[in-house]
Amino acid sequence: MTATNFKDLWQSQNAVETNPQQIIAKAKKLQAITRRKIIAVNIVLFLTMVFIIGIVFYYQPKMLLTKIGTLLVVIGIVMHIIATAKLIPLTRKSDAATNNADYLKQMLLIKKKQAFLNTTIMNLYFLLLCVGVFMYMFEYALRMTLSWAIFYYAITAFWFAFSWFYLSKRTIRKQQRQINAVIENLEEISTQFDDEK
Amino acid sequence: MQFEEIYAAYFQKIYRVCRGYVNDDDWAKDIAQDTFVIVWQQLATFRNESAVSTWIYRIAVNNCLRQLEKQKRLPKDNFPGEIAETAPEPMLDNKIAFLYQCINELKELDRIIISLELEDIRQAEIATIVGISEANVRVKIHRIKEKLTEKFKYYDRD
Repeated sequence: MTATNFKDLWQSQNAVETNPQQIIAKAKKLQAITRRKIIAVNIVLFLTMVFIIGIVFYYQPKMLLTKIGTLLVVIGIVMHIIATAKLIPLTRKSDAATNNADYLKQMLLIKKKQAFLNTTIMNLYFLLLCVGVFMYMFEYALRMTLSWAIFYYAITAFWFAFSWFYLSKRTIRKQQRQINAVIENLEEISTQFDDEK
Repeated sequence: MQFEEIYAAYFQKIYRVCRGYVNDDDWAKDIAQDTFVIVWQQLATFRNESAVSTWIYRIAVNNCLRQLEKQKRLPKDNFPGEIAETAPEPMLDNKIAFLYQCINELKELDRIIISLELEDIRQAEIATIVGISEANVRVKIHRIKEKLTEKFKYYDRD
């Protein structure tokens, strides 16, 4: 069979076409969803900030430890927001119409950043949150009886341990497996773009 | 160029290239549609720096490459045999089905390159779409065609 025959054979295959208007409708719908998502994320961030600042002003903590605790929690949240936000321009910049080799490199970069966010940043975030909350609680625990204070700390410690060792470790591990699998595949495909030896 | 014109001129071509990459009718249609969603969104910012065809094929192939993320979530092999068989897939000419199957056995980049070549795109343009040298494209096309011819030799004999 000659090369022309391959072309004829290939080009004889057609799909049932959808109406282009349906594509346009889909595109518009997707745009609306993206816009709504961006607005929702911004509202949530704003409310979180208001809530934290509100707590500081409302309770008027007297001890330095409480203030440091609050600060650590805020730093944790802000750090997480910044790290996540740094991914957004990357995804947006990855132009859908760059050549395939560059697009692959860009995808690989994003996935690696995601992997970093998923492990290092998440660990740090949790650590800051944990230490921050324990420091913050101290002032209020002092006002309780000893047994209540121990109970109060025990419950919190239990909750942190549960969410850390069970919920978050498991989720992270699962996500990490997926991201690593994608990275591995991307790297394999990338090598195909290297020059033939 | 208007969106409708581009759509009419390129839908089948894009569908075939996607089909060459995933070898699944519905999946290929989805990728082709997503490609035109991006074309519609970005048509206003398209500045004719490259040919319309180069632009569209790049978007389509990039979309194919992105299927990697979805592939992990939706392993095709996990579908029970009966469902896969009863799915309303248009009857393919055996020979075309065999061609798709042969292409599907190639590596990702080879699948892309041969699909573009079979769409009658010049090798220089394929190089621009994919982002490798023209010489490299030429070598690859030569090797892939040898492989396909070899496989079809056995097919034609049976």
